[in-house]
Amino acid sequence: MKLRLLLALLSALVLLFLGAGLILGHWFEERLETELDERIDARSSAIAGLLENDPEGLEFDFNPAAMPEYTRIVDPSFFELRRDGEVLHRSPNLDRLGAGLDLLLEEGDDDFEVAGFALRGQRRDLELHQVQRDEDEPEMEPIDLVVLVASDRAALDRSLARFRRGLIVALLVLVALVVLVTTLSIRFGLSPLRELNDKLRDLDHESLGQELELRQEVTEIRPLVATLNELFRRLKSAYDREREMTGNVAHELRTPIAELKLATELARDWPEDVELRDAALSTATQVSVRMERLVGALLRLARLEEGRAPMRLETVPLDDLVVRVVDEVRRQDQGREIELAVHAPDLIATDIELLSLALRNLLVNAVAHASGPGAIVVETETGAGQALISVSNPFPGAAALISEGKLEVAFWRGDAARSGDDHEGLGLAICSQVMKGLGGELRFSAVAGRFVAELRFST
Amino acid sequence: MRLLVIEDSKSLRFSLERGLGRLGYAVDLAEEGSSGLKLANCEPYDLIILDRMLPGMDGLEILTELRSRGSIVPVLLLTARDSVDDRVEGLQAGADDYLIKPFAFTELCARIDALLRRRTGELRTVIRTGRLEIDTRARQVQYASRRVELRAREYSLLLFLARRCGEIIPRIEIEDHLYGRDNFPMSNAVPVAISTLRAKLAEAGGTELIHTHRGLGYRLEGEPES
Repeated sequence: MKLRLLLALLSALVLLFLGAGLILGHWFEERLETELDERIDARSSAIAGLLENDPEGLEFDFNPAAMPEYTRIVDPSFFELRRDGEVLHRSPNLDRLGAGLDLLLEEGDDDFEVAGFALRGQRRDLELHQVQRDEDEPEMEPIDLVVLVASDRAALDRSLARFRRGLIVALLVLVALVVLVTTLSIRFGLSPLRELNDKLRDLDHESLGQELELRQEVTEIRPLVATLNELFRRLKSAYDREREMTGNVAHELRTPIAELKLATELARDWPEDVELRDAALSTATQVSVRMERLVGALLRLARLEEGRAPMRLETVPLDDLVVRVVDEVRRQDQGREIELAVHAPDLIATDIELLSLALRNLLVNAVAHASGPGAIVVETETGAGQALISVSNPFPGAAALISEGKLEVAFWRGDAARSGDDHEGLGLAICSQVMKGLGGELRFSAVAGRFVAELRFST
Repeated sequence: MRLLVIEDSKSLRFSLERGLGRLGYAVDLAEEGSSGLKLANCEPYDLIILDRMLPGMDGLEILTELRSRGSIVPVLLLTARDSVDDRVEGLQAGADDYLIKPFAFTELCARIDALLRRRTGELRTVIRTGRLEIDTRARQVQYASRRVELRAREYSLLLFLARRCGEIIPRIEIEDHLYGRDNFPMSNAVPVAISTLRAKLAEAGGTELIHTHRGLGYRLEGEPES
């Protein structure tokens, strides 16, 4: 990111600087050339002013001492007076420079195309003005005189070159400064992110519960840190639940495996003991049934939690579904009376198998944990697009149980020993997930010494 | 030796009673905490095998209650919880040993033997008194290097006497340690068992080893090897 930012900045800067440099250079060059032109104009006028045409002839009152620029070699100016192509006068420095000086002129009509002049064979550019003097005074003959004034533009060119070099140096310095400043800015600006990165790198599942705190308080990063902390809290909670679930699964598996292991070891060590052998076989059967149930329940719960449980919506009268499930449970356990108070013959659209599973789990739970006199009561109700199935059973400690908030936790059972081979402690957890999948919810309440579980969903 | 097993799993209860019974232990059973605690307080057990997770009163509560009443009976805790915290908690509550389910029966027996040896102050697995040698690990008895074949109950009886070699042990005490609550012995069970034991030891050349002190009890001749 740093490199990209840097490249973008540098590209923009170079383009800007080049553009500005070009404009400035062009302006500077024009200015210098204009100055040179003006200077030459002035000199042309001055030279022309030295001409006097009187009846005795043309007089040219040139004083080299007064105009040193026409004598020097450094930063010189040149002039020539020509008439009809013949050079009448020329500046002293032209004479000093000697043969080889040639004004490269293309003469045509009265205009001269100035190409330059050669100085000792080296072509030099120059600025040359033509002053054509054509005086028309009645007492004088008109003359046709060309005054050529030239100024060496080497100085101008040197100035331009110095200017351009200066621009390049300035550009390089600016680029270096920009790189330095940008790098430092990015480094400084990103240091809270680097600190955050270092802290995140050191995180593991054990430290998920610790809040991230940065040494530097940066307003822009604060929301990110808050979001990360919230994410880690959720991750820790999920990790703790998973760890608890894993521990619970291990515990659930260990006891039946211990039973099986001990029974089979004894049957192996004392093969003559028929009772031990029979007990081992019986235990093996029971344990395998329990394991199958447990594994099936775990898989079902996992699929429900992942949202992978296949759902198939069908329409069914709610009461018919409830009556069917209640009859099934009654056949399996006739110990506790189950009363039906169904008032919802309406058709509902639901996954019949999953809703039946949820209701069955509630009923099995009620049968297992009903305590005290009274029947288990199943009620139904529909209205305003919503349906309700409630299962209640006598249970004096219902309020305290509900307040623990663990009823839907996998493997939670009424007794901490998780005694009993008849259920795995996953019934309510599965029920809760089923209802979430159906777009409904599972609710608990305590009413007059009774534990009430409700399945609520839209029809 | 008399053991109390407090375990809510019916299968484990049956297996433990059967397996340990075959090894000569008298085993009493309790399927939940409060009845187990009652038994532990009333009967003289040599060791208690206690499941940690019990309905109602859990194993640690029972243990704490036992220790608070001054009981020093060795307790071996059985549990499916294997975390360090759980083990530490169990040992700090007063357990003498901690065995994780599932476990091998042989390991359970070895731990029971170790706890019982510790209880009687034994340092070695072989008890020697005179020419009588009892290998508690192999559960074998020899007299003057001749093998003595004993049944489980006979072995337990001899071991009980040998561990308190030289002491006169009342019959009632022998009954308490050799028979469980559900196997209450007939009034002559101990004399018959002593008689059978004497006969088998005599076959190997060990006569006059067990003495009867009328009205007081029984005593195994000799001093334990130090």
